[in-house]
Formats: sequence, C-alpha cells, structure tokens
Amino acid sequence: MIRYYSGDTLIHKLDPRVKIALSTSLFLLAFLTRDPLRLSFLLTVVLMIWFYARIPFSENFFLKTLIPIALFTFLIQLLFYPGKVILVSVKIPSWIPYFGGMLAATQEGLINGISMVLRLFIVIMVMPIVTMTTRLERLLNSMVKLGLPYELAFTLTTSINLLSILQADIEDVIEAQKIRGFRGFDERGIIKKIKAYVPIIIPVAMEGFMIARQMEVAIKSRAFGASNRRTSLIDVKMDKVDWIVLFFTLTGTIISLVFFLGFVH
Amino acid sequence: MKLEVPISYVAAGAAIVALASYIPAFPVIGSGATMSAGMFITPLIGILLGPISGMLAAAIGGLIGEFIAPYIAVFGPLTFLLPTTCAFVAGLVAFGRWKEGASAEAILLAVWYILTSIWWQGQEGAEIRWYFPFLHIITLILVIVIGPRISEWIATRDKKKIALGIFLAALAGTISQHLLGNAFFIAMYSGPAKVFAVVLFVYPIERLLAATIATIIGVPLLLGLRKIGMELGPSYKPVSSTF
Repeated sequence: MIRYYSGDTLIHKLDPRVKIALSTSLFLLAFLTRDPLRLSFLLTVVLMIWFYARIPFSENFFLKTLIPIALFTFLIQLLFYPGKVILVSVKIPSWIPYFGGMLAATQEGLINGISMVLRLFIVIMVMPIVTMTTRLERLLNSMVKLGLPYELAFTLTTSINLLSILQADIEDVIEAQKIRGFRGFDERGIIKKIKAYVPIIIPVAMEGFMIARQMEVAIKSRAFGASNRRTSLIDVKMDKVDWIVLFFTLTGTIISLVFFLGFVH
Repeated sequence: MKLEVPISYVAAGAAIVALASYIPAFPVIGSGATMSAGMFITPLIGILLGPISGMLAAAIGGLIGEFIAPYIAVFGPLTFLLPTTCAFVAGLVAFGRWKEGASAEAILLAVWYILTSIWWQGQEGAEIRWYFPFLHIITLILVIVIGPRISEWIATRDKKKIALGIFLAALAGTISQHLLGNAFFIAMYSGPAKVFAVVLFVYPIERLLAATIATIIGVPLLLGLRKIGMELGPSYKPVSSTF
C-alpha cells in the first residue's frame, strides 16, 4: 500500500536522513519566496530528482487528483487575491458583500496564482522523494536514529501491517452486507452514502481493536519496552557520499536563502 | 509520555485513521476534491483512546495516509497536524479535561485573529476575520458551559447522553482541525480574505455534518465495544503504558 519504487540510483542509496534533509530544505525554500521564477527553479530541481530516481508519474496521481486541486488553488488566487490591475471582470449582484458588485481577475492574482500552484506542486512532491525511494525499515531506522522513540516506530510498522488486514476486512464486510441485500454502497446522495458507511466502519473498527487487544497480550509477554538498549537487523549508517550530498544540500540551501531573501539580486 | 490505553490500541487507531483518510466521503463544493471519511473517524479515535493516545494514533495514521496518498498532503509534511489536533481536542473534551480542551480552542482562535490581522492587512473584506469563526466561538462556549458533563455522558449507558457527549466532543475536535487548516491555508497559500466570505456559509454545514456522522458511528461502536468487554472512552481503566 505504501509505494516503494526500487532502483539503483544515488537517491535510492542515500541515507534516509540525508533525503529527509534534502526534502525539508526544498519544502522550506518554497515558502521563502513568491517569485514564480524562483519557485519554477525549485520545482525544476524537484522534477529532476523525480526523473533521476525514476519515480513514476502515475496518471491517477496527476490527472485525477493534483490537477483539480491546482486549478482550484489558481482560481482562488486569480479571482480573490487583492489586486489593482484588472484583466477581466464580471458583474455580480451588489448585495454580495466585499465584492463591490464585481468579480475580477487581476494581474496580481494571476501572478500569485501561478506562484501558489508552483508551491503546491513542490509541497506535494517533496515527500515522495523520501517515501518512494526508501524501504520502510530503513526509513523507520533512520527516524529512530533522529530521536523518534522506538515504541512509536513500532506503532507505525504495526499500523501499516494492520492496514492491510483492515483493508481486506472492508472488502469482506461489503460482500457480506451485499449478500444480505444491502445496496447502500451503489446509491448516490450524501445521506445514503453516510448510511452506507455505518455497517462497514463499525465492524472493521471493532475488528481492529480486537486484534489490538490480542496483540497487547503478545507484546507484554515478550517484555516489550523493558529495555531501552536495542540493536537493529537493518542499520543505517552515513558514508562519504551521504556526507557530500548533505554538504551540498546545506550549501545550496544557504545560497538559495541568500538569493530568495533578497540579500543578493 | 503517559498513554491512556495500551500502545497496540494506538496502532489500531492509527490504522483506522489511515484507512479512513483515503475513503472519499463527500465532495468539497467547487474544488474538485473530496473530503475523506477521516473527517468523522479522527475525532472518534480521540474520544475512544483519549487525548494523548488519540493524538498519537491520529498523527501516525495521518503520516501513513500521506505515505499512501501523497496528493492529499496539500500542506506537505505538516498535513498530519490537522487530524492530530482534531483527535487531541476531541479526546481532551471527552476525557473530562475540558479546561485544556477549551484552552486549546482558545489558543487556535487567538492564532487565527493574530494571523489574519497581519496577513490580511489592507485587504478588502478583511473584517470577515472577526465573525468568520462564529461556530468555533459557539463551540468554545458550549465546551466551557457543558464541558464537565461531557465525559460523564459518554461514560453512561444512556444512548441519548452518549450521543450528545460524542457529538459535542467530535464538534470540538473537527472545528479545531478546521481552524488550524484555515491558518495553514492563509500562511502557506496566501488565502485571501474574500474567499472566506464564501466558505462562511459552507463550513458550518460541513463540520456539523462531520460531528453528526461521528455520532451516528460512534454510539453503536462504543456500545459494541462494551459488549465485547472493551470499555474504551472516558470509562476506560488505565493500564500502565509509557514510553
């Protein structure tokens, strides 16, 4: 369910902590500027990493989900962002407050709209650089090394494993309800859809907590949490390449900060 | 950090939140996006597991949801903070810590007023910031006035009282999540003041609906868990589970 795309690229071989640093830098830099050119540069860097790491652009991801959200974001800025230079305007009823009887697309709104869409793409695309190029065990190991308590990392892996079980349970429950003549899942309308959720979610949630109750007995009987000193089968260690990439990431971030904050034009 | 429930229950809660985060519930008008079932499941997790355990479950579940479906993470890696806040506040109110719940809501309101005063300076329609969070203020007042009774109601065997308690706790949670999400939208995507003139009429319906659905699911879920010997919610007897 969590997509990992294996590969032999430098991005795949990097220590997850370096990838987290790289993604975090790109994420933070995206908020330090509204200039479309600078944001385009950042997005280009993100896209180059995606292409190099061969993270696939699946159709569902872009066409069905990200593009409508981007369009909505753009339209909000175009029509509602305060601006003085009006490009196109449409009359609307004057009783609608704050609009002065006119819905106007402004130049400032257009530029800000482009910037916000670029920012949206950067924000959404930086996390897969880490999650889609790192095996879950290595990612969790590195998060523990960064200070995440082991118990939380354990909870994360347990939840992911439980997710597959509950996903299968949902399908079983839906089939069981259909056999009993329930047709709510196929019906349209918000109220009918809401009614359709109740017979699915309740049994699945109860199943989840029942499994948790059994698991609690199992982990307590194995003295879970008794000792803070742990070793790992899979260990992550930074090597020379990781340190070099980290150095260039931090240097690049500092240089970008200087340019983005306008200290050098 | 002391959890209210065993850590395995946190894992189960996180899995349920993650699962709910990519089940579409109802469309967001005009956006092309849909709200997920996480909107009404997340406050329930806080109500069942408690503020700390629920907050952790929602945080982990939210993170997993971002791993599975990165296109829902419109606020990037910070997106998981929204369900975390929801479960935390709902859990505080449900578990009798209504003063802390009310304080959390008050802090979020203060953040809203400070942020909009700075960000919307000089913008047409900026005065909407004063009355936009009217439902948030009403919920805050309800939590302050009725707060001491909410956890008692959820712990009873009376279905009507349980429903009322869950509704109020879920409303407090989902409304806190909404305010934080708005703050992120303004800070990250320059959310202009005028767009909130439209949202003003939409969000109360959305949030009241989420709290209602949480109640419709929460009451039979709570009673069903009690029948199989799992007394979750404010009547759960704590076991020693720390990390």
